[in-house]
Amino acid sequence: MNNGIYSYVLILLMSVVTIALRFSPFVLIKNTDSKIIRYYGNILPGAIMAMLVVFCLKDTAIGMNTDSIGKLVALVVITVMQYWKDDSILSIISGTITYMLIINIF
Amino acid sequence: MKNSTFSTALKATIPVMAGYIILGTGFGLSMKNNGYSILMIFLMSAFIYAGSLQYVGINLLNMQASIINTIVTSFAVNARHLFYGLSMANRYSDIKKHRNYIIFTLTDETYSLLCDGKLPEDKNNYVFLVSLLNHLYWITGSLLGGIIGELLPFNLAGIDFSMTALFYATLVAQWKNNKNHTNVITGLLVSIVSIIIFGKDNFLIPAMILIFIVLTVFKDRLEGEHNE
Repeated sequence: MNNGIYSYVLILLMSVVTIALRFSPFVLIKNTDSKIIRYYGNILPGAIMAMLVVFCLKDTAIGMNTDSIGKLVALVVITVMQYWKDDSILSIISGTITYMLIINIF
Repeated sequence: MKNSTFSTALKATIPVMAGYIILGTGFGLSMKNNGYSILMIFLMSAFIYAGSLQYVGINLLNMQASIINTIVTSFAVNARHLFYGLSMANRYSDIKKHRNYIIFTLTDETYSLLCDGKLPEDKNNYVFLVSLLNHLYWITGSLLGGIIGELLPFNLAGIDFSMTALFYATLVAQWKNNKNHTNVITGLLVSIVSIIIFGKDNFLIPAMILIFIVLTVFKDRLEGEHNE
């Protein structure tokens, strides 16, 4: 039902916006070493990641259910792995497997 | 192109291979479970090639979102790429071969592999190969998810959590690598306040704008404290 032509238009739009975002710094910025550009480059990623984590967790029904507990334990696992091994991909995989095990076993 | 350049690139991208195949499989399977075709999975992974937007994109497709909503959401979710591009503009200044492809494929993970200064002598080919391999892992993973996701010999319920895990692991890395955490705390508080004010379906864009304003207002105070 959602496989119609309009879905392809939406995919095209997502592609064009993403391409425009990726190219615009290389096209527009002439002085890439200015103070303000470096400031935003350093300061924004942490804030945006925090926002995206909230975005992902916003539909969680907080309480004593396997979903909430699974997510909480997985986030702890990721934190520990990140500090221990400093390897984002390894942390992601460990956390995801932890969550999957908890919701599938209990 | 030297053979050693290929093996160096392959080795460097192994962690991304593992992550992208799992995250890509999660995406492909979610698309399949929502009734979308293999062609659509391929088009999204090949030509959007941005994990977070592709996951959000499933919701946009499900609700058959308006054109304006799709453009604004794509911008909000991927706006951070502006800043990855900004910090690579200088480093990529001598990249001539496959330049447009390399810029298009600058994802969070590709960025993280290429942003440290120690690139091999055969830099242009190396950067191209890392970018290409990561792109292929992502496409392969999402097609696997879409084609044989349900036949995989283990229960994949919950693999959607890999998106949360990706953002959260990046967040922890940010926290760990910076002494000042005002930006992370600002991101958290502004997002929560935005959910209270605008509701959880509409908070992303106002939150993004508010974060930008707050961090701009406190620029002078934060600039000296925030380490690279």
